[in-house]
Formats: sequence, C-alpha cells, structure tokens
Amino acid sequence: MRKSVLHSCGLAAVLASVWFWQNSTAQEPDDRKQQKSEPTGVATGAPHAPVKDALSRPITAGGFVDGAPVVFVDVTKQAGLDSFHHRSGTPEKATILEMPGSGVALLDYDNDGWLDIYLLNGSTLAALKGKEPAPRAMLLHNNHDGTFTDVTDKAGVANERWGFGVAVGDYDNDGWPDIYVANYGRNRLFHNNHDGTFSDVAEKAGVALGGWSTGPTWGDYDHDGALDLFVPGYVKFDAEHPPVGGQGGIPLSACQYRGVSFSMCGPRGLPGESDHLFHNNGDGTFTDVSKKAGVDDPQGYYGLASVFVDVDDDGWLDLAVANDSVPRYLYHNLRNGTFEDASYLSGFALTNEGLAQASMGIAVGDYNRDGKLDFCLTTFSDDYKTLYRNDGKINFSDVTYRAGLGAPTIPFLGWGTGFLDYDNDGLLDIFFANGHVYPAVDQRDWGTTWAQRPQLFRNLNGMKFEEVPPATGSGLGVVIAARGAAFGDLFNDGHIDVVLNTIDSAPVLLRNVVKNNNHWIAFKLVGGPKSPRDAVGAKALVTAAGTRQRGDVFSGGSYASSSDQRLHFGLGTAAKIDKVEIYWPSGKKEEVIVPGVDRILTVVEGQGVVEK
Amino acid sequence: MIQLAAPPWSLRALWLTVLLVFVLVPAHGQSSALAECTQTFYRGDYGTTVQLAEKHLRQYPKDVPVRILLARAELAQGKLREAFEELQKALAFDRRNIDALYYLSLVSREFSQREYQRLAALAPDSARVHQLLGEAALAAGDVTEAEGEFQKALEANPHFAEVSTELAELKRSQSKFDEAIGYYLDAERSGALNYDIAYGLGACYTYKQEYPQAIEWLRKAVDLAPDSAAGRFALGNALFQDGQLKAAIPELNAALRLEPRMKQGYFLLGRAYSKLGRQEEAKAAIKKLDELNRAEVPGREKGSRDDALGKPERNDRR
Repeated sequence: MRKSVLHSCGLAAVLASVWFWQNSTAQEPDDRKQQKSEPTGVATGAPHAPVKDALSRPITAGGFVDGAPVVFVDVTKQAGLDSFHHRSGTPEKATILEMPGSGVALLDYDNDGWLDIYLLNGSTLAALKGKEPAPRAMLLHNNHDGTFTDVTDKAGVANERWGFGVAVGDYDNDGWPDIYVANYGRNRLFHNNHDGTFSDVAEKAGVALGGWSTGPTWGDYDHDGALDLFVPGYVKFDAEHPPVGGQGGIPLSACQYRGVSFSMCGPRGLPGESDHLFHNNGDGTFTDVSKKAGVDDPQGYYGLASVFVDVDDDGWLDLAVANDSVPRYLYHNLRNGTFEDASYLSGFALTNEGLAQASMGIAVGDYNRDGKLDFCLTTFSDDYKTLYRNDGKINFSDVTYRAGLGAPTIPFLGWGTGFLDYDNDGLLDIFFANGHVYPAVDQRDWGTTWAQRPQLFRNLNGMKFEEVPPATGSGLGVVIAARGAAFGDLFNDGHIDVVLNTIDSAPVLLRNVVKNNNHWIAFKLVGGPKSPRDAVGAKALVTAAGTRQRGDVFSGGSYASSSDQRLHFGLGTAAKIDKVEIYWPSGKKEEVIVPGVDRILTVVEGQGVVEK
Repeated sequence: MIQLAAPPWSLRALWLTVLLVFVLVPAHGQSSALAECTQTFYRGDYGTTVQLAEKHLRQYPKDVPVRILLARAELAQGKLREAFEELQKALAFDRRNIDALYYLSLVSREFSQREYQRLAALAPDSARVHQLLGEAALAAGDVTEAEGEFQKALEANPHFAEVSTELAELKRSQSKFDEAIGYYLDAERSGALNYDIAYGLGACYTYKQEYPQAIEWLRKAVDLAPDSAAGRFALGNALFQDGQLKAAIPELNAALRLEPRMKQGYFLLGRAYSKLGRQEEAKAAIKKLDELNRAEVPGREKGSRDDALGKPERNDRR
C-alpha cells in the first residue's frame, strides 16, 4: 500500500532530490543552504507548515472556540455600514494595484462629540479609463444611537479615485478636522467647511502629487504650530502597461509566491515610488521639503504606512515608515528641519537577526508602561508580526518571541494594527487585521487563506501577550480579507471599537462588548496657539493606583488609516486618578485635575478640563 | 615567375582536398555511427546499439553523443553500473554536457530507488526506512507526513540521533522552539554532540530570547565548525542581544570575513559599534550595508534586479 502510494507520488524523484539535498548541505554546516524556497514577490518569510484546527481548517480561517468570552460583536448591518461595498479591480487580483486595498478613518467631522466613519474605496481599471462609474468612498455620520447615515454626497468626499490611505488632521487650526486622501493618481485634501461639507483643496495647497500614494500621516515636525504632512509612495505603476514577469526587466521571480507564478508582480522587481514631506506654510499651502529634510526615500522603497511619533521624547516628532518587502525607515528629527536616518542603528529597519520584512501597518503605544513608545508591525504570512520594545536613546529590540507574538501570528498576513486597551485593565493589547493578497491561496494547502480572521492579543503583564480565543460567531470569528483598521470609542461607552475596511466587500464594525467593572477615562485634547489645534503630537501621562500610563495623539499609522484622536485609558479597578500630566506640542507641560472617571473630558491647553 | 606562381595554386587545392578528406571522413563516420545507433536504439534493439556503439567508440573514444547513447542503451537494459560509468566517461570529455548530466541524474535516481526497495524489502518497518520516507516527504514539502515518518523512526529506534536532529530541525523551521529543543537534547543524549545540534539549540534559545543558553550552545557550535559564517553570526547576534557588545564584535567580524555579503552581519556590527559610542566604525558598517542594499533593491539599478531577487532577503530562521 505504502509502496504504491509512494510510487504514484514519484518516489524516485523525491528520493533523488533528497540525495542531492543531503549531499549539497553536508558540505557546509550553514543552515541557510537548507532553505527550500526563497521569498519572492511580496513575501519575505520562509514557508511554514500549515497550522490547522481540529476540523482541519487552516488556522487563519478557523480555530474558533465555542463558549469563549465574546469581546467583539459584528454590528455592521445593524449600524448601517453594509451599504458600503469596497472594490479593488478584479477578484483574481491580476495586478499589484488591486492588492493593497484601502484604509478607514474615525473622525468627528461635525464636532458633535461622536465619532463618524470615513471609508475609502478602491477602483477598477475600467473606471480609471472612464468606462464604468468609479467606486465611491463613504462618509457615515454617527446618529448617536448605534446607527450611521451615509452623508457622502452632501459632504462631497466621494473621492472617486483609487483610494488607499487616509489621515485626519486640522491642518488650518480652525478646530475642524480635515481629511487627506492618498490615491493612485491625484490625492485629495478635503478641507472641512464647518457645515457638514468639505472642499478638495489639494491642488491649490500643492499636495495632490500623482503616482501611487499610500498611508499618510500629519504632524508638526518643526514646532511652528501647524500640521505638516508626510505621504509615502508605494510602486511606480503604469495601469496601461502593468508589469509582466520576464518582460521589461521584470524578473519572473517577482511574479512568484512559494515558487508558483502569478500574474501579479511585485513589489520587488518594480521601481519604488518616492516619499514626500510637505511643510505647512500656514496660509493653506504646503511646500515639498522631502529632499531637504532627508526623507525623500532615495532607495525607492515601497512605503505603505507612516506615522509621526516622538520616539526619544525630546519633544520633536520623529517619523516611522513601514515599507513592503524591504527595510523600514525610522527618521530621527534633528530639530532643524531635517531628519537623520536612524533606521538601521535604531534596530527598527530589520528584525533582531537583521532580516527585512514586508511591513504593512504600524501600531504605536507604550505596552510595557515604561514611559517610552513601542512599535508593533504587521507583516506577510509565513512571517511573525514584530514587536519592538523601545530601549531608549533611539534603540529598539525585537522582543516578539519573548512577548508570545511569534508563532501565533506567522500564518496570518497582517494589515491594519493598533494598540488598544480592549478590557480597560490599564495594559495596551494588540489587534491585527488580516487578509491575504493572493486569492489563489485558497486552492492550495499552504495553511493560509485569502479571507482571514482578525487577531487580538491580550497584554498579560506588560511583557507577555496571549491570543484572545476567537469565540465562535463573535467579531473575532469573522473571516474577511481585511485591510485598513481604525480604533476608537464609536459609542462613547468607554470601550474601544474597531472598524475594518475589507477588500472587495462590505466593511466590518466590531463593537466592543466586554463587560467588567474596570474604569476608564478619555481626553479630547485641544492645542493652544503654539500647538496644532487638534493636539497631534501631544502626550498624556495618567497615574492611577500606582501605575502610570502613556497616551499620544497620532494621525495615521495602522495600515493607511486614522484612528480616534481622543486618548483613552483603561484604569482597571482604580476609581480615582492621582495625576494627569499633559505634554503639549508647544513644549508646555500641564497638570490637569480631573473630576472623576468613566467619562470623556475635553482639555484645552493652558485651561485644563473645560467640559465633560 | 608565371610558371612558378601556378604550382602553389594547384598545391593549395590539393592540400585543401586532403584536409577535407581528413576532417570530413571521421566526421561522417561519427555521424553515421550516431545515426545507426540511434536507429537501433529507437527500434528497441538495445543489444545491437551497445555493440555498434562500443565498436565505434574503440575507434573514436571521444565521441560523446555516441557514448551517451551507449549509456542510455545500458540503462534501458537495467545495467545501471555500466551506464553510470559510460556517463562518467562522457563527462570526462565534456564536463558541461547537459545530456550526460541529465542521464546521470536518471541513473542515480534508479540507483536510489533500487537501494530503497532492497532496504524496504529487508526491513520494512525499520527506523532507516521511516527516516528515508520522512526525508522524501520533507523534500516534497509534506511536513506533516515527514513528521509522522520521523516519529515512526523514533518508535523503531528511540536513540536514533540523526532522526531526532531531523525532527528538531523540522520543529525549528516551524518556530516551535520548545519542541525543537527537546528533540535536539534527545539527539545529544543519543549520540555525540555535533554542529547541527549545537547550532540548532543556540538558534532556538536565541529565538526564545534566552541568551545565556543560546551563547553556551553557539560557542560549542563555533568550536565544532570555526569556519561557519552562520555559526559565527548566530553567536555574535546572541552576544549582541545579551548586551555583550564587545564580545559580539569579533564574532560578527569573523562571520563577515567568511561571508562578506552578509547584510545582517553589517547591521548588527553597526548597532554594536553605535551602542559602544564608536560612531565612525558604526557608520562604516552601515555604509557597507547600505551599499549592499543599493545593489540589491530591485527596480532601482539596472542589472541588479535579477541578482536581488535571486537572493533570499531572509535566511532560514531555524
């Protein structure tokens, strides 16, 4: 029986290959020679064996646990989000343009105190040529009752271009959030008109670019009180002449994954799009200072996400960029309008062993409560999602395996990500939105799937994480091709919810339904005259029950998405806050007296708490 | 002068004719022999093919195509050793002959299969049979099957160090480091410590970020194979991660001497120098890394694309 099976499988060929393999590796004890297949196309990790659940489903679309506590509930339909349908080219994903998908933003565009949702849409090659109507982005107004209303037409933010990234920032300091949209083609800067409408001022402002832009970020890098804008670029792509393996200098290996050829090629093998830093002139226009500032991406790396973040707590925003398939960038702000490339020396560019990853999204937060900001990066399948501990002085250590995030994340292909305290215990947990880029993986026994479930890792003690079991039928059990992910308290109930933009499908709204007695506090920060009005770049330190937590106001990160800019702190059982310190972008430090917990407070720079 | 000038033309023509006869007659002989052998071979008359080829090769021993045909006829008759020897002779005359190499691989495969069948018939449930089946499954990419066969091999022989090591390496490649460590330690207990075991244990402890143990095992690995760039780098990495920066530097430099294009080595070397405040050396290491990256970033520099994509960016994390 065994003999016949083996013969039918071509035993002779297999045995011969074993013979050659053994002999070739026996000569030198360098185990790199034993790698069976090399990473190509977008992949950077070596193939792993499939991990399957008890029902033989790949773990990426299985592993559900009956009776496990429910953390999130999928309320997409009840909330009215199912009227949006994302489109990204063909179902087969014939070109790289159709692969990355779009982001999502959570913003209170009408200043009513409730988060609204802005979902970007993709497009099709036919729509680009004007042969069919272009898919539209959607702005959903929060009705304060758990439902949302489509207000896209009135707001004028349909975009109708191939949208990828979105970042929210009040660039003109008028107290109303504006929206930057990164497209394939010209980008948009939607200026908030304060009446529920927006005007696209990208051309006038000088930030329209062209080419292929991805996950942008706002931040006041030069301390002039006005938000500047960074826009990473992905690939130089000609939709009329998409790359073909073996032609035009594109190697065949650029169009392969696990040794199988696909029509989609890249990003490796394709020329990279430049990154851009726009300095805010304070008069509604911007100047491209990328080259002068030293962040123009001379390597032509494949940027997908970015975030302004003060990694060394010197009060000046540094810049992190997630690049696909090549080293990441970390630029240190030299406080003179320029940055130095600290990517390698900081350790952020590569893993502990000096290996590049395909980075899609960036989470930033102080998970170990040491007062310094750490990073977590989403990556390709067959690779772990990397946790970097900030060791100070612009040094990072890859502590992924020690933290328990190694093996469980390997089969998944991650995109949007964020640190969030989902259970309000005072420790930042980690969420990964997952989904593959090759639909054809479903036809192969590679242990990964096109549609994947998201992952939530609970922070146990500031050092170690443990995956929260995906309860059957719960929000963690949805199997989707997720891309963008944004985090925020959509229902003002003290629990962080998640919105996922899903490629070729409806979005997913995961409502946090954790029931416990933990307390919380949230702050909406409003900057003074010398800070950006939306306080991007501010940090708050909250001390309660002897522990101190840190929260920072960001715009961008995750994958191509923008999250709630209010700072949320879980307090555990502490019903009282001992101290709140706020470090404003202007450089001012302020201690704030808070009247109590379990509430959202607005704090104005120099004025303390002004309203509940 | 005219009379003197004429003979050289006639002599030249004569000389050319003789030369052509010498060149073309053997060539004709060779091509006709090849044609004859080919005809008999494709008729399935292998015995005649062998006779014709041997006769021809006695006269023209360097006729590689005919020798390959002879080998094929012997292979078709199941005379593996004879076929093997003829192909070796063919390669001695033309070491890059693709046909000879192809048929040599077929002969080797037949050898391999024949020996496996002998082994399987002799001891169907022996540890060696399961080991071989496991290796075959692994080569075919069926890790589950491979693990099952290796387990059966260990059931048949619990002290089989080779198989324990193979299982350990399989587990390490799947990032299951605790299981891998268990198998490596079994292998060490069952046999003498070798480089694979020491390196594997060091790599596992490195990934678990238990650096003192990693360093201990990697030092043993480097002692066993001082010229292994991977071993030197792994030791340098573990020392670096453990904060032993000064000790890491010579190991990383040794790795780079052995493998000057190892980007990871420059990365860690630069970081180690930087942390020690030796900024010039740090910059030099990062510059080297940058140069290697520039040469390899696809789509940026013409001529470098194929090279960049042909090289794995990530090495085996085992």
